[in-house]
Amino acid sequence: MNKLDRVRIGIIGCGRIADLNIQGYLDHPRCDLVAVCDLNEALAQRRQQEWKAKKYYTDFEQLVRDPEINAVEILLPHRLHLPAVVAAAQGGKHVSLQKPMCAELWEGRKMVEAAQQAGVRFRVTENFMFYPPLRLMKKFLDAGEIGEPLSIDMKLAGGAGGWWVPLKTWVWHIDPERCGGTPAVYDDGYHKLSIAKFMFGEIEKVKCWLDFTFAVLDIPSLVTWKHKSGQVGVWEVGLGVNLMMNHKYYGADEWFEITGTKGVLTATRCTSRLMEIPPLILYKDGRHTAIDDIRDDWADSFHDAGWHFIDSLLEGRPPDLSGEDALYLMKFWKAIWKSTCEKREVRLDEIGEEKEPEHA
Amino acid sequence: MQKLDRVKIGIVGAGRIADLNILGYLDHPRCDLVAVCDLDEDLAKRRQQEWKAKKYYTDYEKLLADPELNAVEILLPHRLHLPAVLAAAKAGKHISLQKPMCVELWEGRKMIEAAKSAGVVFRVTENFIFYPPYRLQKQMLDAGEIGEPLSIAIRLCGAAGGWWVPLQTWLWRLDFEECGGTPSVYDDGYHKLSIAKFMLGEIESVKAWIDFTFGAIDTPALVSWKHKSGQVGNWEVTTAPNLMSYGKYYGADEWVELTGTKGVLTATRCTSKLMEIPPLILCKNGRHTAIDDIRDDWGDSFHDAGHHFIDSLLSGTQPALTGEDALYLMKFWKAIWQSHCENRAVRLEEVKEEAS
Amino acid sequence: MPEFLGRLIAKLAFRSFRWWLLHRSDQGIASRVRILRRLAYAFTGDEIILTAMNDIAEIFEGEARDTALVRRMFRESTPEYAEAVLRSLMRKD
Repeated sequence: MNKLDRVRIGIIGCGRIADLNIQGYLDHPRCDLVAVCDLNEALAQRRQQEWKAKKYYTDFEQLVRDPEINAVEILLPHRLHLPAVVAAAQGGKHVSLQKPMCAELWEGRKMVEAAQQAGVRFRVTENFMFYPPLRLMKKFLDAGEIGEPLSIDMKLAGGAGGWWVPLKTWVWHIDPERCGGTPAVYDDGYHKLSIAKFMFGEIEKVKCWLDFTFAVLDIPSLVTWKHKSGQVGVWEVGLGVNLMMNHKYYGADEWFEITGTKGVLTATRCTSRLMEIPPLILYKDGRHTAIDDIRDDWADSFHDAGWHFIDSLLEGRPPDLSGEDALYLMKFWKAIWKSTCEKREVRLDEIGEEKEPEHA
Repeated sequence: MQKLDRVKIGIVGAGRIADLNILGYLDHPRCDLVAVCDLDEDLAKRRQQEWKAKKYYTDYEKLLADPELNAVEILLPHRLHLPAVLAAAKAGKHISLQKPMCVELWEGRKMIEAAKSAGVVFRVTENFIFYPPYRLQKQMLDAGEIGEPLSIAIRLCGAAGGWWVPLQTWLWRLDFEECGGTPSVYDDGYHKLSIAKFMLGEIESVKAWIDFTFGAIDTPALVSWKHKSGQVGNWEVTTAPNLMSYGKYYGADEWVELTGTKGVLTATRCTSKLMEIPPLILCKNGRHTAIDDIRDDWGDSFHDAGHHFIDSLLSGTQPALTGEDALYLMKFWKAIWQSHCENRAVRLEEVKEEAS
Repeated sequence: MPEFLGRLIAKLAFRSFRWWLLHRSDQGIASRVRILRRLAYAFTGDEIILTAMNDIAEIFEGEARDTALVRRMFRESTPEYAEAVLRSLMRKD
């Protein structure tokens, strides 16, 4: 694919998360923010001013026809992902789509095909794998610092507090129909599934147990799996309703721990910051080394994800988190859901891609 | 110096600290504890049973006359150090003497000469330099882990709590004449002076400011000095009567921090253990490495000091902490006291050995 | 005020609020929230409360599936959780 000289980007969807997704596009020296788009005109106008974009739209169909733009960042509710990606691809724009990819697997497949036919780049943004402590963790892992990896443990403690999210946004997130899945294990969980795959690669099988709080929140939950390369993984989702987290973003505390034959690597935070301890700790040979001066703001992960997309377009190489990778994570989620519904262990190769329904 | 085949040791003085000094002698495969001696016969008997010694004495002259012994560990009040060392040397026993060496410098000189003319090994035990975290700290320092060393900062906080020490023992230590100096800066301080010298070598000059609590305890005190190799050192001594320390031994919390051009090395404990944090922490290049699985019990330092003495006798080498080294630390103390009394910086060279 | 009394009042207030929420029509709730919104803003001057109550009113003026979801959640929620939500809303960044 040919290299771009400059990336001229349009942002489709200006809601809460756009505050973070925009960061990498604002300060990259070879990226121009050309246009923003939101159904809500007041919001689109405010964002245009705030980010000093050239123009604003209220209809993404118009934005994707703008010849000045060569790439888009799509930040829409999940059910709008498919039409927006297809329209953007047909408009000849390179596409960065916010996670989770889709509700149904056939939707994801259609996106991949549309991008391929139009000859545009397509990636599904998942910021956790750009979070600097997790990237350094992966680097240590690959360098053999903890020997042969044995397992990954992830914990999410949802708490009270955190930044303001419009209540209407919360409402569609907890509606399984509009969200495409559950709010904790599917919507937020996509990040954790991505990290499991980022660290140890493909998954063989899954076993899990999901419970519900307040009828709609899929918490407490416990997801366990086995990687094809033999490691096991555990992911625990808890909710501390009276656990106040005084942090900038979501009140969500994450913890990632990888055990190897020689040592243990622990990343102690991500979205939120529960304790003032070092973000990454390596234990081996009777001593622990803590990394103190690494960038560890959650926003850094969004910033770096943005730069990665731009740099890939500039250098003419495919960005990480391809459509196929995203589809794989969707299958991981489908296997989790199947395991919950059927109360049994589910192998990932049991998950076939359904055909697009006739009426769709 | 000829090698011994086995060390057959006698313990002279069986008080509180003997509980720790004995550790290295009890478990060394080539050391036999032959006799213990204490003026207090009940105590001597109890220690004999407790440590499974062959015999006990109540008079150290008799112990020294015992031909079965070839070495002694002397754990007596400071004023008795000189006669005990002289007698032991005369009896041809190798000597390990508990710190601090002496009250007057000429006493130390006489001990060194007596040991030399009798041809016996003489060392003055100071356990801190055998404390495993300090030894590793020194090793990392020498390996250049923190670059060129710039300074040493030592902190002692005397807290409440800790093990039982007979009140009479505390009393003679608080008596400047009996003790040979003050309880914190001289008696306990000997350990810190030893660590400063162990880490960064000889001292050029000293400045000290010593205050007194309860009329007898020399705290708060602040001692600062300059090493001949250019580094500065400071040592802060405080008493915190309402700070409870739950360590096994004295309620004394120590902190030793070395700063270098590239990093900082911190030993976070020694006698007591105030916080459950790693005993040694190295900070450099934006990360800190903490040593978690090192032996860090204060008793380990006594144990290793004992083994070092025995191993030196077995291999025919001079143990660390020679009489001359100890005399040097005594001069360091004398300079501190002089600086306090005359309220000025004192160079170590100014401290002369008086004639006896 | 003794703590148990405060907690009792909070519990009763929560229970009556929940009863109200579960038994009034969407439109009725929306119009009440719109009135309360002005009052609350006049009292507190808090922008976040204004925004939150505006959101609530819009939700109840909107689709029935949204309000059904909210009611489902409230049927299972507790005063403790309501308190946590309120504290989250009241926090100043």
